[in-house]
Amino acid sequence: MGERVASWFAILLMAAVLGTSYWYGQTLRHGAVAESGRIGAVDFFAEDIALTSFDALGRARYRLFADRMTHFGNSDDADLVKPRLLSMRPDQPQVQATALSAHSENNGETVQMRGDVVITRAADASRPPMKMQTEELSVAPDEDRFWTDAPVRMESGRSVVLARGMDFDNIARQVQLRSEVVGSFPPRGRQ
Amino acid sequence: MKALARALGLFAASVLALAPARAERADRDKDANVTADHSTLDDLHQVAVLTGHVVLIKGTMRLGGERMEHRQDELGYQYYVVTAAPGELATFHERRDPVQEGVESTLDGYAERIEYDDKSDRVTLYRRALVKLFDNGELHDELSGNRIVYDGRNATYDVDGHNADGSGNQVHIRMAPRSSTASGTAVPAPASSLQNAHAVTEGGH
Repeated sequence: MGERVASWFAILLMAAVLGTSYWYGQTLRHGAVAESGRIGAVDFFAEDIALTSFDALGRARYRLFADRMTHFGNSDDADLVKPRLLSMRPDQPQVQATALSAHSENNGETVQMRGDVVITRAADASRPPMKMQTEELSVAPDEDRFWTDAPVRMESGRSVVLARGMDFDNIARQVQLRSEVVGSFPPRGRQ
Repeated sequence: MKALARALGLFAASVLALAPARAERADRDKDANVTADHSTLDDLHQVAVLTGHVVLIKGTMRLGGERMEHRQDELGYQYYVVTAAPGELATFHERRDPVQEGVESTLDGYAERIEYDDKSDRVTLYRRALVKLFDNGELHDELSGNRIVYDGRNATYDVDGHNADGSGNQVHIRMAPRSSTASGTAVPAPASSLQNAHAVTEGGH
C-alpha cells in the first residue's frame, strides 16, 4: 500500500514539473511577442545598412544607418542595432538621432529608439548647436517629430534644461517639455 | 504739481543717498537656475516660455511667477519677463552690495509683470508695482505705483503713477530716515503721496 502511494506521488510530482515548465515556456514566448510586436518570421537581415527616404520631388528626406538590421516580413517591422537617423531637409540644419537599438514599425512609420538616445541639431548662423539625451525616444521620420515620456536632458549652447517628457517638432521648431522642468542658464561671458 | 514731484525727487535723492546701493555684483556672474512645471522652447527664435510655479534663482536674485519668457541676444545677454497668475503678483527679491558694514540690504518687488534686463541691469515692475527695501530685514523704504523701474547699476528707482492710457493713479513713497548706527531703530517717516505723479529716487554709491 505504502509503495503504491509513493509511486502515485512520484507520478503527480512529475506531472506538476512538466505542467509548470510547459506553462513557463508558453508565457515566455507570448510575453516576448506581446512586448516587441514582432510577428512572423525574419525574412532578411543585413549588416552596415544605409537606407535613404526620398520625398515626392526626389530629394533625400532622411537617411537611416545601422550596424545590423533584422527585418520581419509579415509586419514590415525591423530591429536595428546602433541606429543613426539623419534628417536631411535642405532648408534646415541637420538633425541626427542615435541610440543603442531601435525597433522600426510599419516600414519606418514610427521608430522606437532605446538606450543612450542622443538627438543633435547642428548650429546655424543664429543658433548654437542643440543636443538632447534620453533613454527612450519615439520618432516619426516622415513628420520629423520626436517624443518621449522619459527624463530628458537638453543642451543649447551652454544652457542646460532637464525635464520629464518631451515633444520636439523639427519642422515647427518647437520643443515642449511636459513636466519637472529644471534649467540652468550661464551668465554672459561663459557661454 | 510737477514742481512738487521734482522737489520730492530731490528730497528722495538726499534721503536715499545714505542707503546701500547697487544690486549684488556677484549675482551677475552666477548661473540662472530655473524650475517650472512645463516649458516650450521656440528653437527658431530662441525663446523659452516656462509655465507653472516658475522660480528663477541667480545668486541672491530670485524671480517668481506663473509664466516666464526667457530670451538671450546674440551677445549672450539674458532677458526675463515674469507674469503672475490672474489676481496674483509676480515676485522679485535681491540682496544688494553692502555699503555699510554689518547692514544687509535687501529688496523685494511685487507686480503683475516683472521684466529683468541683464544687459542694463534693470528691473521693471508693471501694474500694482510695489518695491520694499530692507536693512537687516527691517523695512525702510517702500515705493508703489503703476510702473517702477529699478536701475540696479545706478541704484535709482523711477516710479510712475500713470496708466498706459494716461489715466491717473498714485505714487506712494515711504522712506525711513537713516540712523547713524546700523541698528535700524529709526522711526519711519510719514508716507508721502502724489497724485498723478512721477518721481525718480536715487540711492548712494
